[in-house]
Amino acid sequence: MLAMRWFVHVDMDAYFASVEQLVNPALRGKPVVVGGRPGSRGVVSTASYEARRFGVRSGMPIAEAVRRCPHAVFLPGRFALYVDMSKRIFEVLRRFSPRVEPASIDEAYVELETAAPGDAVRDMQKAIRDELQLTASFGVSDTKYLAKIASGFEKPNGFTVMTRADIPARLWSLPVGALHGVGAKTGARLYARGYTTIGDLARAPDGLLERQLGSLGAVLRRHANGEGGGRVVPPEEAPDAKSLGCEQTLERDLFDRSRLEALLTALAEKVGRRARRHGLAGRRIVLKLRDRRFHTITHGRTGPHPVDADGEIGRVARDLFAETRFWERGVRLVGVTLEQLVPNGDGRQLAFDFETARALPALDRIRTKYGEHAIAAARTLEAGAEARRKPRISFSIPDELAAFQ
Amino acid sequence: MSTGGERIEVLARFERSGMTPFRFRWNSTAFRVDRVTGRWEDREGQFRRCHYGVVTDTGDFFELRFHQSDFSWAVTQVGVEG
Repeated sequence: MLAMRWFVHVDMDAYFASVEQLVNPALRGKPVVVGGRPGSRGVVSTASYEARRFGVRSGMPIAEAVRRCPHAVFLPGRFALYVDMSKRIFEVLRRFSPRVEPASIDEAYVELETAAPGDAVRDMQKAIRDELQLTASFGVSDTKYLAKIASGFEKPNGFTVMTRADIPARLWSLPVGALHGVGAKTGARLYARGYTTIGDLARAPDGLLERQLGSLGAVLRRHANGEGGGRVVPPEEAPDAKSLGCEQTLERDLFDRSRLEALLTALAEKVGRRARRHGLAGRRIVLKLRDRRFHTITHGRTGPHPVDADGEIGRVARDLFAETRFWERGVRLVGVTLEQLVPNGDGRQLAFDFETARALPALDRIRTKYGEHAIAAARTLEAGAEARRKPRISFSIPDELAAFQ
Repeated sequence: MSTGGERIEVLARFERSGMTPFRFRWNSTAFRVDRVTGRWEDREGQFRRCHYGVVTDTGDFFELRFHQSDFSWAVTQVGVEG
């Protein structure tokens, strides 16, 4: 058999919980829930398979997980540990192919040129198990998109080969929700139009889905036929970032406008610092807000010049916030994102004054040397502990790759 | 159980692969490290912090942290609760 190109999707099994069980042997065999302590407002990041037997799932509020599995061990999660282990996993994978694309902290695509993909994948699976004492599920296909779907077929520690020839038998009978990228909202839209299975989408007449759903329709039709994903893109070949941002889920709903503005200022500082560290500035600033009923809005403004100064990002974010009057609804989540990024210096707005221009690099140096919270704008103090919690940092990439995030 | 980073004395071995704790004293009791179950690093400002998950000869689990700023060791977690 001739060597051909294969795509492998590697999905670590219950990753955060498995790493916790690996590091602390006393947790092995016990239900472990990573995401927050009982009483916290977080959601479940990962549940061990022992906890899943009690109905605990990723994305579920911690309070619900406690109700379903009160005897589980609840852990807040330690990102540094998971990142460290993730690097070691990717190092193992790179021994099998130079073309490894991390898709998240616990997922990666590997491109192989081989006549026997099954043997290669079994070797990868064994290496991860023997060297790191972790298990992963593998999907193998002739397209990247199908590889991702296939890795979910046999979990944990599974291995599925699915080529385009297998699509009618294995994919088309599944509900539309099984397609990656189809969430509750899109699923409801599809059901409303009579598409219940992936096969319904694949067999839709030319142009119909596009007319009904716009560009999303064309993407779904391609995915239903197993197409999509392109080549594996190692990090050194990845395109530049398109946006960067920080968001924070609050411990409790906040109605206090001044505290929320202080928190926005703190988030703007983090976004500005990250932009400067990457040598970027952004023309558009977007505010994201979620209220206590989980209604989410984004509200943005495009300025005449790219900016990277904390003060300018914070000022625009606060102006946008004032326009929404969202504090009246009880705020659950806030986020600030810088978009339309350009290399720093490409028409960048000069800092507001000479003192600010000198202060920002000094602030950056202080934070690099003494830590993120070593120095902060006085107005962020009002945000209290929220401003000192670790925000979720986002770094988005172009749309053609976003489908695989 | 989190200990809040209680300072302790540790004997560590320096090898080509890095530093490995092998004995420590906590709560007036000396423990011998039976095996290291995990090691990872993070940063506090410019300083590196090295974390170790260890199981002692008594079968107890500890997390130890070495802080590069002052070469101090601390116990950060004890037992099951994480």
